Amino acid sequence: MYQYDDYDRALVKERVAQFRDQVARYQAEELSEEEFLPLRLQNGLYLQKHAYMLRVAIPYGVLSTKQLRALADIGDRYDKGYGHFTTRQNIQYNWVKLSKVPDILAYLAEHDMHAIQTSGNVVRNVTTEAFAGVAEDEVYDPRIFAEIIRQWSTINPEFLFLPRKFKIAVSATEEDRAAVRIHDVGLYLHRDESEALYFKVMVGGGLGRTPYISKLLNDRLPWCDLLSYLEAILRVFNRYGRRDSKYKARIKILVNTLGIDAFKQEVEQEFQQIAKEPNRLTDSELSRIASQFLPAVYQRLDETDLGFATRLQNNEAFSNWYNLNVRKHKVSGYRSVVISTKFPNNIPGDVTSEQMRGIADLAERFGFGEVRVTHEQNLVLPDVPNTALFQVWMQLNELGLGVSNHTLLSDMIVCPGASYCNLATAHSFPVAEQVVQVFSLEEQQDIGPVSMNLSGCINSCAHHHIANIGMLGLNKSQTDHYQITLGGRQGTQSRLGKVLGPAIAESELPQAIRMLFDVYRRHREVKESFIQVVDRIGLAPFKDALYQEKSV
Amino acid sequence: MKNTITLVDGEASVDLNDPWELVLNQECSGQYCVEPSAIWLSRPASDRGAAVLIEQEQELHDIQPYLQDIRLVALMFKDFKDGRAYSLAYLLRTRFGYKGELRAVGDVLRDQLSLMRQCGFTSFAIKEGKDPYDALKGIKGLSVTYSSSVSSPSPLFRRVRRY
Repeated sequence: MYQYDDYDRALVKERVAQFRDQVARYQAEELSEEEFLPLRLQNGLYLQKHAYMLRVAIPYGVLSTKQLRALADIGDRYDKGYGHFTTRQNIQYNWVKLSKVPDILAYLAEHDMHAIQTSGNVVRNVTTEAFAGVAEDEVYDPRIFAEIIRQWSTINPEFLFLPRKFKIAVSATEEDRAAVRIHDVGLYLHRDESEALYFKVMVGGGLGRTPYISKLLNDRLPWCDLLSYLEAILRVFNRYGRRDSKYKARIKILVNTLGIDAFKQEVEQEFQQIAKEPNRLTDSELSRIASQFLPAVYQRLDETDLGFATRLQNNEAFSNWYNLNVRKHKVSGYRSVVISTKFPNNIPGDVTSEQMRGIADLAERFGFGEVRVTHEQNLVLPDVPNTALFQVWMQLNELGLGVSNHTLLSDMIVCPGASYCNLATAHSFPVAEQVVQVFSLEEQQDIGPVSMNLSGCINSCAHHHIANIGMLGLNKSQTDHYQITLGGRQGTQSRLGKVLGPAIAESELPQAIRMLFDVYRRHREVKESFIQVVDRIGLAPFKDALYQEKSV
Repeated sequence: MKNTITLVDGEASVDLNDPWELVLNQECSGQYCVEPSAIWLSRPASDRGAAVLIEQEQELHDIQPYLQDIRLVALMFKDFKDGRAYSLAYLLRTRFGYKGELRAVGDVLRDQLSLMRQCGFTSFAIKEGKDPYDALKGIKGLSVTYSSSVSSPSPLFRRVRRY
């Protein structure tokens, strides 16, 4: 992972001192509530229903085991013994005290971490896929560009009071496992005929009450001009993005009001006028950043191992887990392990301090001391030799983290909901649990891969729009209701789900979801996934199943 | 303007006797009027003062031809949370080559001064009711900046040797 140098370290330390002073001035009433608000947000601090919430940055979801242990310590010392991993690959603590926050930030800084720009109307944590650097299908390691963007956007003085938050994601694969197209700016890394890197730049994605999949802004941006191009986009956004309504302030609204062609013209015009030399990325900067990532030293292993193969044959539970939660690796004999943080054992994204330490142990014993966070709120051990997989699985089971449900219906993205969040209208976690409980693991395996996300309000933190089945909590006549969307997906061919019909009462939701899967099972052909069936037969049969009874 | 911080050769100090006055609606008298650029532009060339005020939503094309003759441009922060003036400051300095004094006026607070300085502002009319001596502490900011800016035109990776 990226190793801080003295500059990185000085910046986070000075930032802690700056914020400590701001907190003290706020507590001494030298800073008003209004003046303090953006300062605390830019340091990751929200005020939630019951307490302050601190969101700590995990740049592009990469953690060293030392850092993971530090996060576990923070959970013990300043929270209730756990943390919640988010769809921006960050972690948040729900029960912190304002007076302790400077100490938490100082502790983070000691471990080369921070909470800078995890909130506020700024460029947020840059995300990429959890398998960056170990995926067999990537054209280049996207973490290197994500780190370059992280540095460029961190306390960039022109862009700290944007109309609204600004999210950037990078992907270097054809599949796109980073939900790039729901980002304000999405970057697809490609190679041209002569192997030179370039970006396809997408703009104007975002969910919330007006969801959009991003549009193509530039189909061939040379990698070296990335920073000037981002600068052009952000300057246009900063100057012309709407500021009169929070809900119309994201860049997606500007893009769609102007139209992509006119928006593109604005950006091109700005880009042409920027003197590009100062910010032009060089080969040496690229290799310097790459070298800061300290590449793992892999052993020469055979792709198959007799002991491992025997285990797979003789142990069905292990083999199930292997098939679902273990991914191919670019190096022979290695695999990446997806650790499920989901129901039935866990609350989606919630991981206890004890579990964090257990995962850190595993990453040290069997990996290279690195852990990743996925945007689906799971954790990943990126480099596990196949000979160690059985032991890893046994250990994960002991930690309550060995559930074989990656990509299955219980691998849900769920927001914290009204139990914590001021904005939420619905209590997401218990409802998601009730839905999942209806299906045994065997049944889930029979249904196969499907994404099912649940958001507690229209802000759509759980990305329900791009789930195969999306559930959105609404408050309707005293009881919580859920609107169901169908057909959404992430990836290069992202699509927004369509609303099936009137919202369903909370108590009827589990059965409604069961009906959808019954329709799927009636219609599926061999090896056809849920989303493939939706594509083939359309929404009507699902609608009929769900609403027929009521209309009779 | 009372309570103004001025940067001279990189050194910031409080200037309690700053002569410039914002003149929004009434007639301008004297040589230290800062008036809205639209009013300034509507005057015959011989009647124009040495300073203009630009609002955050304004375009800069109209005023651009006259920038070399202007001594002070004031950029208005109606609300410190509205960051448009940072981009205007960048444009004035980097694209239009404005060399005169660039002043932040309006909701100008200690915790944003270093950002303003980095975007090319050289003086700061601190919001009424705030202590300018306290605000002075906000000029410096952090010692490390990654990105390029008006005040350091190269990004960190070109400014220093990093290992």
